[in-house]
Amino acid sequence: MKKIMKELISSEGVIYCLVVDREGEIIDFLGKEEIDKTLVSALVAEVVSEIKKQINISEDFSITAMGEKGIIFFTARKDFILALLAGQEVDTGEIRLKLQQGARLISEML
Amino acid sequence: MDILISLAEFYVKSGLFDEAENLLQTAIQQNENVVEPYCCLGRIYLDGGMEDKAVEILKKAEKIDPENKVVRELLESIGYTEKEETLIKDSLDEVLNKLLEIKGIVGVILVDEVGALISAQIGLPLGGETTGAIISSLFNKIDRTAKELMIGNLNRLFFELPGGNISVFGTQTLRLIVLSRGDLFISKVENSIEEAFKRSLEILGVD
Repeated sequence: MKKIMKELISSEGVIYCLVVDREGEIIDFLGKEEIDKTLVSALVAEVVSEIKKQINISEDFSITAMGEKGIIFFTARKDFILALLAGQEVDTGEIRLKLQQGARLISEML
Repeated sequence: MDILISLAEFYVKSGLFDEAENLLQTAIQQNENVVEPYCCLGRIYLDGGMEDKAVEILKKAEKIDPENKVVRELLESIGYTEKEETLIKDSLDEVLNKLLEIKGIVGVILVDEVGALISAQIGLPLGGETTGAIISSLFNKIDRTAKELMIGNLNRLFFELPGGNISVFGTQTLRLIVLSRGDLFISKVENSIEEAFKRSLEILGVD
């Protein structure tokens, strides 16, 4: 899994990669900077749970949330959530594509 | 309610504006569908020269009771007339319709920060009010998460869902929600959506 994550954070501007289960427990992580991964994992799982509840969605889905100082990308699969944290100056199309590829490989692995 | 309003008026006479405002806001929270505290608060804002806040609170009162004479008179006293409202609505409809002309876009919804519907143009059998409220609530939730993660205020949000995509352009006061088919690359129409969002902010006179 580290190999997949390493590939994901190799993109310019991506600073952190995190794989969590649907309950917010960390499965694995890799980052260029130190962040509060427990907070990130809990928040990401909470947001995914809220989206599932509000939109009533059971299949896979992805979110890109762009803030003033950075971007959070995450994709929710049946058993896990793959999240990336990045700065503002990233190629969002490329990251979204790599996120899907990474999630597919992790799905196969799990 | 009468006692609360009398007390709020007493506070105002005593120069205790913050106390009056807090009291009336609490009254509104506890009795969301009673117009009187909205009117009283609107009058306080007007007297204090806070016209934007007055319009905001009086518009909420107008939604509860569109025929209320006091609300109408207070709004008219600051030049907020039905004619102006119609002009705003027509301008917004024009902006949203232009977006809806883009192939692949199936719905456009404009809501305020609490998810209240401002305008909607939807080419699908979907309720603009409900959809707008749900997406705005998710925007708020993710905005709080973004702040906790130190990435600042959320200004764009993209959902890639099995049935299609949802793009949200937002500020702390306004959200433009665009529903599109999954085969439409949002990056290709992002500029048009951004332009429509900026125009909507201008029309409504908000930041």
